[in-house]
Amino acid sequence: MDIPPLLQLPPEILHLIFQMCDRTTLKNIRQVHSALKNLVNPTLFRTLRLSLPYLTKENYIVQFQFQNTSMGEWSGQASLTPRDQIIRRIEALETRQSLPFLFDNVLEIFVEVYDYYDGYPNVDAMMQSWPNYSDKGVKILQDFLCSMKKLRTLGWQIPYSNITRLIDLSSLSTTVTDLHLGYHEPSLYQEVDDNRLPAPPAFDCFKALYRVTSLDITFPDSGDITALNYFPNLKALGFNVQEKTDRWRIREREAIREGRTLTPPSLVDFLQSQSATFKLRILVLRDRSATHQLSNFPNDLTSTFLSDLDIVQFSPNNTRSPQYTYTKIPIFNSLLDTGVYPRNLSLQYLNDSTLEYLISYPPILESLDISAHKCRCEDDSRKNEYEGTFGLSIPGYNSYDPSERQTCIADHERRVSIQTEFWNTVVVNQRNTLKNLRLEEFRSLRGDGEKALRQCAKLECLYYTGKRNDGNLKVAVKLPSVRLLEYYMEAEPSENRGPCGDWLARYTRREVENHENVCKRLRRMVWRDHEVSGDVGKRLVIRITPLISWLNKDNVEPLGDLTLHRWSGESGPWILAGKGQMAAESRKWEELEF
Amino acid sequence: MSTIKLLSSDNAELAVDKEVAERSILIKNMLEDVGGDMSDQAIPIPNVNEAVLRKVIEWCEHHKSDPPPPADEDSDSRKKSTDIEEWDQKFMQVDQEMLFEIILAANYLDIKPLLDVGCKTVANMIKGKSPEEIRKTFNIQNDFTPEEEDQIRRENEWAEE
Repeated sequence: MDIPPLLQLPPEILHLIFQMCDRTTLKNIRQVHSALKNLVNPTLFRTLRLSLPYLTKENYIVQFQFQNTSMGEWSGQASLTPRDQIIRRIEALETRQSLPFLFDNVLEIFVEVYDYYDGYPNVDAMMQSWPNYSDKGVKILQDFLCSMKKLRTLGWQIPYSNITRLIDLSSLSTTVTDLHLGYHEPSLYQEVDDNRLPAPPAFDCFKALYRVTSLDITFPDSGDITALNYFPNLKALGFNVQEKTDRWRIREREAIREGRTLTPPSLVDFLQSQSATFKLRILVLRDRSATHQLSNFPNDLTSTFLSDLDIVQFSPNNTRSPQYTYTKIPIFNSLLDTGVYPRNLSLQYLNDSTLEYLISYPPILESLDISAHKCRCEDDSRKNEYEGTFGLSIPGYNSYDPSERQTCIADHERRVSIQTEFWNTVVVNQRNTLKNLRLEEFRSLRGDGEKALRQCAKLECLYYTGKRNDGNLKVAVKLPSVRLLEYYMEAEPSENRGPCGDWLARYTRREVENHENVCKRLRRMVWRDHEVSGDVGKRLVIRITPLISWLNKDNVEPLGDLTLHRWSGESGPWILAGKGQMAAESRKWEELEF
Repeated sequence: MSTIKLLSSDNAELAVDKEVAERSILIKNMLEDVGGDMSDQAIPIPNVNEAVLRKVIEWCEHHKSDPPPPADEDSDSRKKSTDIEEWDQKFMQVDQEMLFEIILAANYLDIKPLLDVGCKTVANMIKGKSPEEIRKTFNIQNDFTPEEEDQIRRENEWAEE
């Protein structure tokens, strides 16, 4: 019999097609034909998320919510209940006989929930040891993980328990190169007195994974990371300490009683505890190590571990305090002192410390992502704090407190001057290397910005969060080499409350209407030849995302990939064209005759 | 504008603008290797017959002035979207045999955007269909026993949405 044409396509093309299919479709393709089944497996089972909210066979916890409801869709059978589904999975985990399709194909596994508390003689014994696992509970996960033949990435939301002290992952040491570690308090952890709070997870078992090149870790401030100290091949590090956990508060209370001060662990502690050195290429900091609050960052650590950095991203999860204060940030001082200049840099904010560092840069910067300083009157998180206080404590310009107003005005003045310095020194210095530039909260691209950007001969991608006027777009399309412009445009505020912003009036019905007006205006924009650079039509893709669409408002049309094109042949002006409404509008333009 | 000639597997010679033919990275590299001058000699395309080659050229003609994909275009966004622009949808309204031939030709000639459109078209033909409907669409016989089918369904449970 003839082989159907679909099955004759080479595997690499079938893989391309499968990559364009959702998981439900992939499951259905597996059931079509044995040849397709084997080809789908690597795509469908590449990533496994293990979520077993289970407890024990006798004490199955029913209140958990399940995501997976798509079973038996085409089978004509009634769907399994979540309980049956979990029990079936547990049985498969226990024997592992039916799971070679996972062991042969899974490259990434994320252990999200593993609540296996079988293996105790009775429920009392289990509750007594809670939240620690029985030997059996540890062994089953260990055997399952260690059966994966190609596992490259291990992610684990580690529960507060004994499991990472006991589990042996050494047989994964030859394959695993990426490690993503988080933590969670045990799912069934309920009210217990402070003294019975379970201990935060340990990291002993990960020492075996010495081939790890990429480590991303989030851990509680009460945790101990000193066991995580052997990564001779580490190249990429994501680091985050979650602060103010319950256990920390208890220790803090004790420390205060005893007159001691406690400092949560930081990147400095992590680097100091390493028994083997490594040279990082990528560093992502999401905690206070990236802010001024860290008291010191020793230069010898920077020289040892950070001297080869190529990509650095500082995105502290607590961004509030450093934004208004122009204090020195130790890690930047240390990078400055030791002359470490990564080519790709992402900074949460532009302030005196980061500006000083950027000004000292040699001309090598290829990509820069930076957010301008925000005045406190513009910070949404603070606004929420002050909501409902009838304006009596409004921060900033509108405050009834004169000193608040003065601070706000000073902040705004510095905001203007620091951006001028940024354009005239940093961008101009980097004009020969800069390829990607992402700017948030900047005032305008006009003036100094335009002058500096037009000198950047290699600038390919420009990302900009703009406010209110589309004049920035006019600047951007004039740039000589930009191929991608991503422009997050905020609709005009419906009510303006002085120089500091519009916080009370945001996101109302009128905002949506204003957004529609912005779209209308964009559709009517035209550029004459002297307003664009020569090959703009062939070169430039523009993505305009109205900020309002983030709020999932109905009837808000995102303006996808747009291009500039001429209407009316060779001599007409340029207009924006794209999909949807923009396509329709541009066709209308085409039909016009002047 | 300079023209070059392409020779299909069934020995048909087709004249094409160089700019259009260079949508194919294979041809572009070939021309670069010989210094760009192929005006007197046809480039053999041994894997593609005349009918398919004409279709491919038609696509290249239409897309000759497309901007190159932006530098930071990640492969994920390409994979996720199966939107196909209107002209391409019409272009791909051909019988299955031709569709697969175009895909194979795009793969051979290294025309990534055309390969993408072809694969998206096939993906769209599969999406939302039951296994039986997929078999019907592509004329495939079921080669599983009921036990095997049951086993596959159990295995599928491990693939979360």
